[in-house]
Amino acid sequence: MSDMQYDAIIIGGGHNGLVCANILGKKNKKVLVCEARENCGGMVNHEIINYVPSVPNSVSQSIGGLNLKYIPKGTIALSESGKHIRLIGNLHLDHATIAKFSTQDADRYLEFHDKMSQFSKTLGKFMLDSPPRIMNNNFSDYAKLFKLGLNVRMLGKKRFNEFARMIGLNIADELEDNFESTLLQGLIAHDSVLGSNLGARSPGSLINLLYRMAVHGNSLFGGIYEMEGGSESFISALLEKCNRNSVEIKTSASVKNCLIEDDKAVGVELHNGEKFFGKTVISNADPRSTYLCLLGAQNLDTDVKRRIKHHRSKGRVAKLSLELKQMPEFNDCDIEDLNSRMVVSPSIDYIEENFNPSKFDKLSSEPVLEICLKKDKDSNPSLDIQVQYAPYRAHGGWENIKEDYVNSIIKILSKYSSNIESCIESKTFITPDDIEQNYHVSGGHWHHGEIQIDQLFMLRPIPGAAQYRTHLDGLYLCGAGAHPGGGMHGISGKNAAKVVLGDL
Amino acid sequence: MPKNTHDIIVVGAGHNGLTAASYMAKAGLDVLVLEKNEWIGGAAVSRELFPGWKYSNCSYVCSLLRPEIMRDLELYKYGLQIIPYEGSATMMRNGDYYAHYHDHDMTINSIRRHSHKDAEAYERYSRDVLRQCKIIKPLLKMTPPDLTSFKPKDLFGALEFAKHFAAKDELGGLGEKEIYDTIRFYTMSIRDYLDEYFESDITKAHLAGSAIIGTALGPCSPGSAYVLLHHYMGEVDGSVGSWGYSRGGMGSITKAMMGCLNDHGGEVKPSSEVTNVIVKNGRAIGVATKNGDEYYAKKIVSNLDAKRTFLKITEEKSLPEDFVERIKNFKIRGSSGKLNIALDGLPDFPCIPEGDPGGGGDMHFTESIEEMEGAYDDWKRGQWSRNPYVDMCIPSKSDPTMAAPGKHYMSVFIQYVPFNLANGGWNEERKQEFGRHIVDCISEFSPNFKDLINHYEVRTPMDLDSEVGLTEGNIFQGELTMDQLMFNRPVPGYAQYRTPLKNMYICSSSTHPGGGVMGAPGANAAREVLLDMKMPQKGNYY
Repeated sequence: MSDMQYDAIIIGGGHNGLVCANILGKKNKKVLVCEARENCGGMVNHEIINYVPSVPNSVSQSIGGLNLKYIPKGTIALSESGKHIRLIGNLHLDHATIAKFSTQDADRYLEFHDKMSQFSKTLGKFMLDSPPRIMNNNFSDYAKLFKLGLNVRMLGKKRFNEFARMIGLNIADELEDNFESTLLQGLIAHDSVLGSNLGARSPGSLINLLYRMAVHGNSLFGGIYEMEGGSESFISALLEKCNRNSVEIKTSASVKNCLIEDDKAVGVELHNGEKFFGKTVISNADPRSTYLCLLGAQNLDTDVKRRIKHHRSKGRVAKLSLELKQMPEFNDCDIEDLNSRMVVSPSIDYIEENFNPSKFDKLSSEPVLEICLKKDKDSNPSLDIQVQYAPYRAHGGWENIKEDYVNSIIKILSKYSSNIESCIESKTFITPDDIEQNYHVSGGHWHHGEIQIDQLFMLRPIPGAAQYRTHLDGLYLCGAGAHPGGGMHGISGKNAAKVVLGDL
Repeated sequence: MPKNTHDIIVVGAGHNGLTAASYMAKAGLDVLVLEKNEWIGGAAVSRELFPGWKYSNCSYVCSLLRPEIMRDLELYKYGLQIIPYEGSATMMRNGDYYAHYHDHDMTINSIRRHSHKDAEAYERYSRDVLRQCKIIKPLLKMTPPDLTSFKPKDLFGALEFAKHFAAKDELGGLGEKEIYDTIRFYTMSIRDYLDEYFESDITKAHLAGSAIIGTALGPCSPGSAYVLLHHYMGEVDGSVGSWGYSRGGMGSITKAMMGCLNDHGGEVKPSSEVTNVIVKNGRAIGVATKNGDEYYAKKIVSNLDAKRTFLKITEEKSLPEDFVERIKNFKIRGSSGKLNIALDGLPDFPCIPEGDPGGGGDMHFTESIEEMEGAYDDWKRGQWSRNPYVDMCIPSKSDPTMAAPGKHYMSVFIQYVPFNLANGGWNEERKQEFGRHIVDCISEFSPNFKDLINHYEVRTPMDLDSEVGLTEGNIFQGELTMDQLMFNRPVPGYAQYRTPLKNMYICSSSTHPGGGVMGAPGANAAREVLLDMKMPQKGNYY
């Protein structure tokens, strides 16, 4: 075709979109990125993210290395009694810390950590590559499946059996079998359900934790960082690369729909009427928007339409940002503690009580919190608080209940910090609804879709669309909705680029 | 040679124990079954606890009992008769009702009253679920392979298992999509699963009931869709998914099994509670009972659940340490209670029109998944559900042997009831309070119900534990979650009905394929015992 201008048009300039664009650009492909917002970066934004894992080597190498600086963060589980648990990801030190609470727990923690980290490594190799399809009669897919089976088998008989048991297990059972400290149970359970639509007692929450560990250096409490210059510096680094790889970027260019000719994606049309044509179209948008808005229901088979309509992508995490007049004081915490990741999740039952109403989009007055204190030399400190479970489209409508909810969060905070109320200067509260609105992610879900077995691996986002290709020729997915999911590591972007390059 | 020597001793005369015993007796072995209660049957019993009324006071309806077992053991010859029932109904607070019938078209019409879309979706739904039933059916008869072993038997077993998962459907479709659907079915919550088909709350609530009965899962818990299968895969007279009453109560099933056992020279000794397994040189050689007797045998087969088998009657030191640890962590949680009620007449349920076959089977009054999940949330807190899910039926409507003419027996199954009741546990007073609460709940839908009550028996998980011997009162002898199914049941590595202790076997519902009055674990275990004894094998389980 004569008007074919680009090799690839990427819809959405989130980190996955930019990673994908860079890899393609590096291979001298002509790439255009259309971003609806004024700036690229999508959800990689301090408004949403508190802590990040380090970007995996495989990703940064594939775009020629990223110069990012990470500040490691410890974790502190707050307790009303002041007996907080502080963990930093160093097994030796963490063992000593837990031993102060219970020597049995400390020993068990090492065993538990060893087991989990081995499993996350085994699964991680599989998780971070593109997933194989089954019954595809493709040799490399079978080889991949065989390799996974072999890897699992190589764990040894005992571990193999344990692995088979743990895949569908809930985290609460495993923690209660191992530990006696309810605070430690609460803390680990918190990390297992973070960002998901599961409670600690929901089967499948354990695989959620394994996924998290695979991204965070196979460690429970290590591998948690703050990026120097904020998580946005990841985006600026990517943009700089884009510049070098001559990737064209259009901001404030919201795509209306994907152009289709002869059952093939040939380009995009913007809301302002502009049209761009390319050999491939790669969507960094979430699967639901990709299918229902960009493609349009009229272009889908009934079966595909039904599946995408039931793709589960309702967010459950809100963010409360408090601008403070002065440094707050937290009970029995020193300045070191304030610099750590502070978690309010005193027990499994606390999480569960909080999770119960959220199943039907209602709110609990005692949410689970992950707190991050930000303090620059020249500005006032602020608290960024991740609040779970704050359901998408909450019952009663967020605009009506927001204020009470925020007050109840502050009430919980004041259990741990006596002067917090007097420190607050202003509050901003971002609900999953706001994330949907402002970041164009339907459902406002962190991972663009639940991380549960029926939406993982070859089933992610929906059966038939796995492996980054959608049901339409020439249209690809590169966002967190594709395998392996979100978490600011750019792997889906990288894997998608590989698939697209193969097809080009 | 010591006295009291037999070929086989089976511990516990429940339906699985009797099934295993009968198969082995039929193969020509000398089998002795020891039962702790004065009566036999375990959880499949009919008992006259109030003069004139027979209660199926544990399990109450029949469908899962494998037809092959009925044929192999000629249970019909020994008096077993299954009476299929016509339908089921959910009553609504607005006076309406929702019903399913034996007849597919009637069901579709009934659903259409509530939602046209759901009526259409039901066709798709029943086809998909039926497909899952077909996939699992051959697996019920198989011993799960040990995936860590490289023995040809296990490798072929694993292939065989995989083959069935990729089973062809009627149209010959054997593909990616079908396998994905199976994976999803095994891992999803029933709520998410039903959401893919139906729109109206009442349809979903009615169907979701089957996915939570007996489990410690709620309708929102991933994995609950699979439990649905445990209530769908059964059949009555060749009709898949239907349910029926056993004539004369559930005790007739175990009575028929005992008939078969006796005919083949086997013996059941009631009132003989086994206290421990006698171990010599690392082998099980016999058992000792509470009344001081000792019995010896070549093989011991336990029909007790995994916890009782390995933690109570077997000495810890004769088992590997990590195995004991696993068994200790085996999830077996009581979540159900029961009321058995002797009624002076048939109670009115004004919601259901008179003569509607929907009222002939199980009746419910949970109108939405949200209500159901709320009931589960209460249980998680250690309380009985304030607004419980009940599965109630009146077997005497179709089976006149349960009560005198004009009188009726009603069975009410209640989900969820905790084993460990918060604030002090169960006592007689709280048990009665629980019973009154359920009666009140039912009275809301039946104005004359209370006046008709002659007597009722309240069963809490505590009673099921102490009387029937189901640990924590779990009716499946172990949770039906992914971590405890197939090669993981009861624990990974020991899913082949053998135990770490030589000559000791387990045949209870704690093994594959799990609970329900199914008999398959018993039949599978008998096969493994006979294989090890190099005995001739006959019947459908070989």
